[in-house]
Amino acid sequence: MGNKINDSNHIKNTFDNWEVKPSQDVWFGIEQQLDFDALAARKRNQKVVVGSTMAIAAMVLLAVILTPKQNSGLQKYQPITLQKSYNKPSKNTNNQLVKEENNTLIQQEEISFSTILSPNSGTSVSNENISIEPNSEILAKNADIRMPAYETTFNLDNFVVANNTPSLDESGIESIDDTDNRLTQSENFTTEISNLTDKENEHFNAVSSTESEHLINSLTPDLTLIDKSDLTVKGFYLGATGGYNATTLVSNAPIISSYQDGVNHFRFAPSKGISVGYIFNEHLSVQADYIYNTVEGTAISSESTSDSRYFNVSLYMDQIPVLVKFKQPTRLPFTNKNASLNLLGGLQMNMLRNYQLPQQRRYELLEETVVFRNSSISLITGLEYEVFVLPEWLISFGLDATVSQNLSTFDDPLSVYPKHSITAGLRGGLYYFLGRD
Amino acid sequence: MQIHKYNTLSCDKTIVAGCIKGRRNAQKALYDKYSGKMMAVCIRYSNDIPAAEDILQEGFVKAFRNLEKFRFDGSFEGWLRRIIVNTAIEHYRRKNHLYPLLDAADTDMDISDDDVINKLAAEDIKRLIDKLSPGYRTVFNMYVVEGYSHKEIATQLNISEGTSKSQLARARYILKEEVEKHFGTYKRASGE
Repeated sequence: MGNKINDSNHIKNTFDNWEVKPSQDVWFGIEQQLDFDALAARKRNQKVVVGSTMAIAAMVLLAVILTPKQNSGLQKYQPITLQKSYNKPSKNTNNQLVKEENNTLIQQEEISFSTILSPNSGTSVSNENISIEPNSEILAKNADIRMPAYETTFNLDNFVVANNTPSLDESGIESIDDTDNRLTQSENFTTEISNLTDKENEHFNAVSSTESEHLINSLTPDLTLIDKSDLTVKGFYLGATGGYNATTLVSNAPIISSYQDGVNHFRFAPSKGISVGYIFNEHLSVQADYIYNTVEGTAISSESTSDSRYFNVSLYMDQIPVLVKFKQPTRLPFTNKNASLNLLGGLQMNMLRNYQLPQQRRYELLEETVVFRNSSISLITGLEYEVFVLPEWLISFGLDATVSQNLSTFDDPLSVYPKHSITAGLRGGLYYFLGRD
Repeated sequence: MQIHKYNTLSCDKTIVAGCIKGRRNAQKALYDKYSGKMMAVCIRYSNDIPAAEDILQEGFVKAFRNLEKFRFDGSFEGWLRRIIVNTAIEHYRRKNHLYPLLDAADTDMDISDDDVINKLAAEDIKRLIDKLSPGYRTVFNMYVVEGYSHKEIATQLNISEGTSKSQLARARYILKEEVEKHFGTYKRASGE
């Protein structure tokens, strides 16, 4: 035992002071690694900078999208000015309203509460970019609500009715025939309102306020005001497109024949490319993309063996989707931004660049061995929003899905090889519009 | 611009600080200072010089990447040696995973000719150790030279403590035989 300890100590001490000079190559190798590390760190930093910049840009873009346009054509029409307009009750009110509202021409910036209340819906707007689709039922209903409310609330004796004027409002809209007396009536009305007792005043305000809210709630969903200036443009646009898709290969059985217990999973892969499109009108456009070297495929897991295994089947493709976009003018959710909701449909040409199979080496598949078709066609469909964020800049974002025709040309040894690919995911694009005057 | 000069006589703290800042001359000074000793460690764990140099390179790169973790609680040489030994063990695992360590009976054998051993230089002992298979050599190095316990060895090599003990015993037995052979040669060479 003593010998053991002595030997150990001697060996330890001997080796502790032992030095061997390594060759110069070792330091060169270390330097190379350190240089590589420094380069990788720089790249990481660049990625952080680029990522941060992109995140900021995305946030700015989002802010632009979510912020309603200021001083745009739409702005003039957008606020449906629900001012308190006090219709002075009169014995002839109902008749007057019916008679006078038929051909009212509403001036820009003068859409007012009392005008919208017109029971007949012949209202039109002079600006061709604006469409107003009043709901006559609601208007009639609200008109009905309005008059009894006054009759039951106020002592009509307190109002001085100078003439048979049916209504006045603060905006001074010409909704009456007798314009000469309008100012006087308004003044009288104001005077009389001020003469109401506190209780009556309070009641009047309460009823008016409730009434307004009710009308706002009733009218807003049914009144569609869309600035079509961005939607009626036509012309070419160019840009970049990208997506992030879950892809898989559809098969009736696990893909790898020797792993029959394997389970197929989605693989997630980004795609990027360039786009060109043409907008025909507010309802139709076409777009063609060139997607460069994107990956489709599937992942297969197998846990039958002692250690779980995970394989990837990858198909590297260039793709040219040609899409028809059926556009529906709408607004973005959570904002008043004008947008187009596009239903996409089209065909995609897939050109195979390369493929990788986990069992490629085992089966000695050579490069010239064709396992997948060199080209194939996919059906593509999707739904996206398209928005002009700036006069010449258009963005789109949405969802899409593709399903391919039979991809395989090879049955042996991959006897259960997948026949179709399927993808689903996000799509988006940024385009420069060339057609704006 | 301030130029920092480092050499093997500079204190570890100064050199390490320079290395953390990414100064290449500091890294070179650190390498020059410890590469000889660390190469000796690597050689003990490997059969040949190129393999030892691979371990050395990998170990130093690891050390440079993790220098900021060194808090000067102990000696820098000890910290670096630990990294080099761990790297050597990883190499052993990678190369020898198909030949797992097998239990051998602890025969309680010792190297009896301590006088002979005490007269051997490091190179000679290394030559003896080279006669051991990678598994025996690794356990022997870890236990005898580095001072690991059997429990630590078992953890590092993913074996049982019993296997570590038996491997060490077997290594000692083989060494004893080699010493006897060497001793005979030594006696003849020295004319004793």
